[in-house]
Amino acid sequence: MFSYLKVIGMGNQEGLYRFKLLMVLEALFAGVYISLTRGLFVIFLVSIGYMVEGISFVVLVSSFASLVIASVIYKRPSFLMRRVKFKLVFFHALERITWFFIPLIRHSLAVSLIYSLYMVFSSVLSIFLSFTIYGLLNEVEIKDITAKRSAVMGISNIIGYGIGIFLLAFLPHENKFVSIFSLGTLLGLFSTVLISFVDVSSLERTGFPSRAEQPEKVFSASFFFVILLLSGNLFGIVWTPYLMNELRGADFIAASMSLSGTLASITASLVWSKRSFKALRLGLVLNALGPLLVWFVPVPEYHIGVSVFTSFTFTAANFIGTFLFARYNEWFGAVKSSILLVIISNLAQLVSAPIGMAFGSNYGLAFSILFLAKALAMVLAAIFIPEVAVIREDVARTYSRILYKNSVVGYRVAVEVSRETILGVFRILALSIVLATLYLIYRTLLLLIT
Amino acid sequence: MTEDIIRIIREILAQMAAETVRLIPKIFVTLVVILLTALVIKMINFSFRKLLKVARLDEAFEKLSGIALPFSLSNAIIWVADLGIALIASYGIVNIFLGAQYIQLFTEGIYYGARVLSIIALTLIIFTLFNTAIEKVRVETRLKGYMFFIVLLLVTAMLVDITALSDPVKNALITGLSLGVGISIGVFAAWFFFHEYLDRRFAEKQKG
Repeated sequence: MFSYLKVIGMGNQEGLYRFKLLMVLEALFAGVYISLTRGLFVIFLVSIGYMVEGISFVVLVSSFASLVIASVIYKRPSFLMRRVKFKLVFFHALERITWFFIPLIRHSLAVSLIYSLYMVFSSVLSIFLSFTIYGLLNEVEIKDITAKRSAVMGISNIIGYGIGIFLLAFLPHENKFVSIFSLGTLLGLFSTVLISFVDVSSLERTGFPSRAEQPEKVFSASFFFVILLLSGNLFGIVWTPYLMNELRGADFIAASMSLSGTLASITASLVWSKRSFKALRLGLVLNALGPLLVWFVPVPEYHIGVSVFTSFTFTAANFIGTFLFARYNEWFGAVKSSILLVIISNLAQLVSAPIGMAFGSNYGLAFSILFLAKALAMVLAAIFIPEVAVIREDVARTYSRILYKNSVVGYRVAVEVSRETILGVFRILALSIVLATLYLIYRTLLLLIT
Repeated sequence: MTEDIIRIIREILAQMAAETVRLIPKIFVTLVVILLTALVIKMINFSFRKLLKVARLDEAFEKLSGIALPFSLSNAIIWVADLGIALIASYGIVNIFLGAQYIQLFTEGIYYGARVLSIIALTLIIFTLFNTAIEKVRVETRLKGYMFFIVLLLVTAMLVDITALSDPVKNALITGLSLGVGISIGVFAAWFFFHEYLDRRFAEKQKG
């Protein structure tokens, strides 16, 4: 059995308290920083003339870049295990410093590139932060700190958005974003200073299992989490335009929805954090009703209440995924858990962007897809994840194994077919180049002698 | 007398030297052309080999046609490409050294060479097809001999076309060969379709 050093969790109460305090404070400043930078990035893009397609393109490119980087680290996890402190602080600072440069650039391609770079740094940082939490704490403490960080980040998000709106309204138009992003960066760098006090020396000795003991469990949990996050991202893309364009809701309602949703998720983080998987399951079931509620409630004002409901239940559903990984952490390892969480998040973002672009304007279809995605996540959790399943655990484990094996076979077939197709294309291309060159040679000869 | 000889030799040497000096730029350019040709051929060979290795042409041809060629198709393509480049280079060298009046001769030479090459290629293709047909269909030895005979006649007719014989002789030979091939195929077809009937008739006649 693979074991991990839980240095902080092993009776060192003072160390644990210090670690938790630093991580929560880091989340507090990071929340304001994110609101002032990433939160206003879309508005910045619009201000420099970006259209919806351009914004989606930036999101797509950056998500793809982060996904690639996270996948590379997953293949070579040893990158995480050497000089952890230096890399954690380095990427923490680098991610924040990138925002100094973004408002200075006006060229669309350059903005896409630098934002992709930021996303890459952000992904690596997320991996290191998850690795720090998953690598140093046990399951109970992971749940506790995740909930506290979520709640604190929610509060600081609200503060950050408040500051952002104030600055957007009162700063002069020229160099407005330079000032806001710089302020965000400075606050973000303050959280970097805080993170530099975290003792991660024990992570240097962390290992990871060469083979996962129960890969089917990780697979089912990942599959569920991707679908859930995908539905969450899609909801974000579709809901506000539906409210404003279709239901003719005022813009303050959209803003209130966002605020009430954040407040609900703060409360939900504290409420759901101590609950069992069976209780969280209820949140998941209720969350699946969200798209239907949004679709069938015609009064825009009522959507504020719906937002409270969906945010509250989504937090529970989200906790299922996070807590599952906290549990699997014991045998799956902090290294792979942390990387996989980032891959899942990026994958969900990457898939949701084109779906949103394709079906975003057809609200009926979009809400149907959303409902189906949430229902699928619910079915996956109810049947294939033993910890959450409504059926007997051993039966769920068997189903999970069947799903995993079939998916692996399907994946291998798909990879083989794709490989053959790509090779076929390359072969035809190679032959075409040879024949074209041959034609060129003899055409030249013919032109010379005639 | 001796002075005359020396003067003549001097003139000859002077003329040779003058011609050599006149030819030096041409020789230099020719050397450059040859070097460039060698370089291009080397590059083409290298890149074609890599590309054809990716394309797996021989394997694909054998799999798709079911015919095993006696030579490598990839090598043949590389050889044809090299030949093309060599011909372009030769054209350039002829143009530099001999001038435009020899280009016509060169062109005729190329056409003649192309005819020879096409006959070789056709012969190879015919023999390959012949071999494949024999391997695929169980053919008895006599029939094999007959098919080989027809193929030889066809190849001979093509060879006659590139010989230096006069046109009437060529025409007469090719007409004769064509007639021979036609009659042979006709007789074979008659035997192939009606041999049972003919056997019966002959047997009846012998009895009667």
